Amino acid sequence: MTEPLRPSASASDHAPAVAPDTAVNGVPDSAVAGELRRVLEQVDGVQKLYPAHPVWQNIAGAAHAAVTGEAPNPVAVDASGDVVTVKARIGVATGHRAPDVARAAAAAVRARLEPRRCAVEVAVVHIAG
Amino acid sequence: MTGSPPAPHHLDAVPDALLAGRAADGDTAAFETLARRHGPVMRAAARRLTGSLADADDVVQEALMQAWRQIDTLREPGAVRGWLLRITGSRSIDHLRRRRFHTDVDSVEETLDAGMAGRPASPDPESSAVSGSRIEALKRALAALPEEQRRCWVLKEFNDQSYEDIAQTLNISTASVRGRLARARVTLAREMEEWR
Amino acid sequence: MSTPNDTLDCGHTLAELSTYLDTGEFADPGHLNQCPECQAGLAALGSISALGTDLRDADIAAAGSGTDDWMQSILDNLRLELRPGRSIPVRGGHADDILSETEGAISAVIRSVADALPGTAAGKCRLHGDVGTPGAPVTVSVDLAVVYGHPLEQRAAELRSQLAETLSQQTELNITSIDVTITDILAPPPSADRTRTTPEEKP
Repeated sequence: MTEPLRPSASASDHAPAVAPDTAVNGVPDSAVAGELRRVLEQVDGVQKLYPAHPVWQNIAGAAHAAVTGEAPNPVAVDASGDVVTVKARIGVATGHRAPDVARAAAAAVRARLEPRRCAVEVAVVHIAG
Repeated sequence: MTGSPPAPHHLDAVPDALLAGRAADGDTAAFETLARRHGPVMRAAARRLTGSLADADDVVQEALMQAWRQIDTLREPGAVRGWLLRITGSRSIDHLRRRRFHTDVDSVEETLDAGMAGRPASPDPESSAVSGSRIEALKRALAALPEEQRRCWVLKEFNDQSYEDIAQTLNISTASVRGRLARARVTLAREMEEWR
Repeated sequence: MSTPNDTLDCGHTLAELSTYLDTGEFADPGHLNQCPECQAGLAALGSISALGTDLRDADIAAAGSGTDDWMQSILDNLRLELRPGRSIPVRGGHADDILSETEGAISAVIRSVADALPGTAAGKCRLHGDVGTPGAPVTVSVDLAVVYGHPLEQRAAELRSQLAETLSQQTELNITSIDVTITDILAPPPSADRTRTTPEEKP
């Protein structure tokens, strides 16, 4: 029960998130996650994104990633309900205040998804010295 | 503030207990320093236990991965070296159990020592020639020991573990450890002409 | 079960001597000092043990250095994940948002502040108190190692002051005290251009 993402008029600095062959009724969560990843990486003070669900916790996960060559998706998106939930773990760059960057990151995601109702979780897992 | 920013290896001089405390908090640099510091002895023990150069490196990697996950359970941070060796022993024995084929002990020893032929010359050639041949003789005597006795001996002499730890690692009783260790030493002593 | 020729003329066995070497336990301790057979047995076992140490040393030397490629490759493979610890809330701009920092991130900040002071390195760092409730009182404790010659009280005071400032910028915790415990004095690193016996520090 997903609604298509309305293309953002202000999103002139990056390519459209939706690939031509995605579902008509909804944008796959993975595409939204990729789009939000780009949004987050451009927030001032965000140094990098960390895996939302670390696969390195077990050898099997690490072996799988080594075989497929895929990096784990840093942004977890669930658009299956009325409220889109977004989870991201970020590293904050030197010279920035972590609480401010966390707020800026959540605001950037919220702005990108507008007017969809969303619940954004941002966790700062690393602060550069 | 005087002083330059910490050099990349500024943790090198830091004692084990402090590094273990930091690593338990999640400091990957501290953990890596511990890994580098104790890696060689872990590798040597794994090589002697598994009899394979390649398997030994797999064992060290598995041991370090387990250590990273469990280092916050370490009660005595100063004992981290013995703790790492204990994990190395367990992982080595597990590795041996997982081997599907029966390894001929003599050929394994050849593999191990052939691979080690390229080690650098020691500073004192004459004394090392004497002790070197004794070490070679010990290796041959070790290779001739029954598997279970050799494992006990290596876990004691290389990993420096207690009877209880060895019993747990090998899943046998401490009485069995005591007996196998003693028999191994007696055999070695006779082979090396230290005894009768 | 004993090995043939394992029993000494005095009635004791090499197996008992083996256990004695490892544990110090022996059924008849007074006997050992008086029995030349047992002494000879202990010497033989000790000699094997010493040779075992030689073998171990040779194996360690052959295992290379911890800075070699094989270790770097293992460390790369480990893909260490950050140990997160508890979640520390951060005020969000929107009611539906949940913003937080990990305790692990803050511990790393504390360590880096301590490491940046000259001659110091942090050990264990802890946040005490209910870090998950905004405004709840929280105390910080830090174990510190200081290189011999550096002024201990001054370093501890510098650390407290810098931590107070950094943590007020990087967290919204209500930090009521910062306790610095000096747990180690480290030997000074060998330095070719060290002309003073102790570093002088300006107040």
